[in-house]
Amino acid sequence: MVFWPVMTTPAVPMARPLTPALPAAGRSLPITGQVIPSFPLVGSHFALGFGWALAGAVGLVWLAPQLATGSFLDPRVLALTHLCTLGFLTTVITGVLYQVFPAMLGIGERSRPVAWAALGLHALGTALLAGGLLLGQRYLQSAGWSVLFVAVFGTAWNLLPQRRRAPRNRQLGLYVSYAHIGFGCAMLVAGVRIGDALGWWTTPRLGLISAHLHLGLAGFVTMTAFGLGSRMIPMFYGSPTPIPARLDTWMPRLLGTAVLVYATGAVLGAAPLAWAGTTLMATAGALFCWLGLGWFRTRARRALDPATGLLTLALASLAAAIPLGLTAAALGPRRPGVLVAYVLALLLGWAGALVLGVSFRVLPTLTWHHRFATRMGRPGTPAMPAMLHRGLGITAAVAGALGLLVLVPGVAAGSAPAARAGAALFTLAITATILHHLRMLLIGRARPAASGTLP
Amino acid sequence: MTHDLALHPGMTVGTVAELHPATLPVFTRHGIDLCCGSRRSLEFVALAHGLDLAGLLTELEAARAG
Repeated sequence: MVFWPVMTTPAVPMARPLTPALPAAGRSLPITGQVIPSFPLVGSHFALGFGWALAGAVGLVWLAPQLATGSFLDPRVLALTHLCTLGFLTTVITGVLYQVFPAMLGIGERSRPVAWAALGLHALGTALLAGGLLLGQRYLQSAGWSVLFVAVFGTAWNLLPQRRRAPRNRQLGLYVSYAHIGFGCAMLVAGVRIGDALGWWTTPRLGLISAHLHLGLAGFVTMTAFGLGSRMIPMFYGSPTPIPARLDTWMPRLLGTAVLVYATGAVLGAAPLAWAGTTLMATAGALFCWLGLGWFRTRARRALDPATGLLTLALASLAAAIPLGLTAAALGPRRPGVLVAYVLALLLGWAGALVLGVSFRVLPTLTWHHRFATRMGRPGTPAMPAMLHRGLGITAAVAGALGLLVLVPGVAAGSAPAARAGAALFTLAITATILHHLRMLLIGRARPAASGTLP
Repeated sequence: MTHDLALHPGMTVGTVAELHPATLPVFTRHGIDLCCGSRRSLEFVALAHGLDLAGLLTELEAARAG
């Protein structure tokens, strides 16, 4: 059985001496493998993404009463949603992809300048769109949409064709390709909505918004998360149970079909079609939760660390989002609070906690390699575990869990104080995460660390 | 290409985990990441994590032998 197909390493030196031949101080160790991810590129995506996350978290506290009343069509709530989805989630996910393609598929992006340009345009487009929504300026929204379209097209051009040339793990690339189809469809629907707002045509507003939301959150974010998560979550848990090959093949098809069927039903106002899509989406979500439960049960270390704690929170949130989504679909706009609670569980609980958890595992390793790999052996060089700050990590995981536990039921019940308290706790989780990651940039700068240093 | 199945310090973390799946919990216990540092050799990650290389190899061998 091939256990970790993602980990195939092409070149293994066979005749290495058994005595550790340590590199001379200050000399870079070679990395076996052909494509090296760019730390500045990946790190900049994370930095910008977490900047958006902080802005979104502050907005969450500010708009908690609106969320509790279920005012999901409030322009400020729409702006906040896009800060979280386009700003936070999409930026970080894109950064992870620029790391994962070389590391797991064995092939990098087509053009690094295009990657940088897409990052800049994505940030500009997000700011314009969120600003346009906040201020009610439709032309600003249109400008933001156009800039985002170019940015997303740039990223897709840069990464998706590489799947066919990848020496390994093309199935993961397929998830990413399907996810970008979902993203493209979400943008198309958004463009139709903006055209409606500009008076070019008339469209069913709620149906389009619901289709847009699910194409983005399920079609893009969850599709990517299923692909990456089915590799990363068992790896981070240390579980010996990979995703079954057959399920790995069918999962993107199931979720992709589910989202397209739902979106078509929502846009056309065809309830049976929308319900068929809803049922399929719930099935895909339940299957992934079942996989997640297996990974959790077979984890190597019983005690959870901040990363695995947040990943567990993400899986629990996905499990909670399924009945919430079905309830919201049954009740419709009569109970907008349930609808908003469902979106929060999916957006902040599932996708948000997953991204935070991955960042706690991936960023310390990447940052250490970038900053200290060439200094290994020098006095004062911190060991890799010194990159982790347990207090900040635990604060992020606990505050995130408590925040969601208070926020989601609070919003569903229409309680503004509970919603605000939950939002404040979730903001604390984001802040602790950002402080943790900023600290990694400061370690070893001023003076050698007193403990945790290499000999 | 053929891989030498015996563990040695020059093997990459990714290769060890791929050839000997039972070693995965050992890496997890020590916080050795298979996503971003899998192309580094065992001797590199031992030094980076402040671990005793011989001890790590012993643990990996024990896990491999199962």
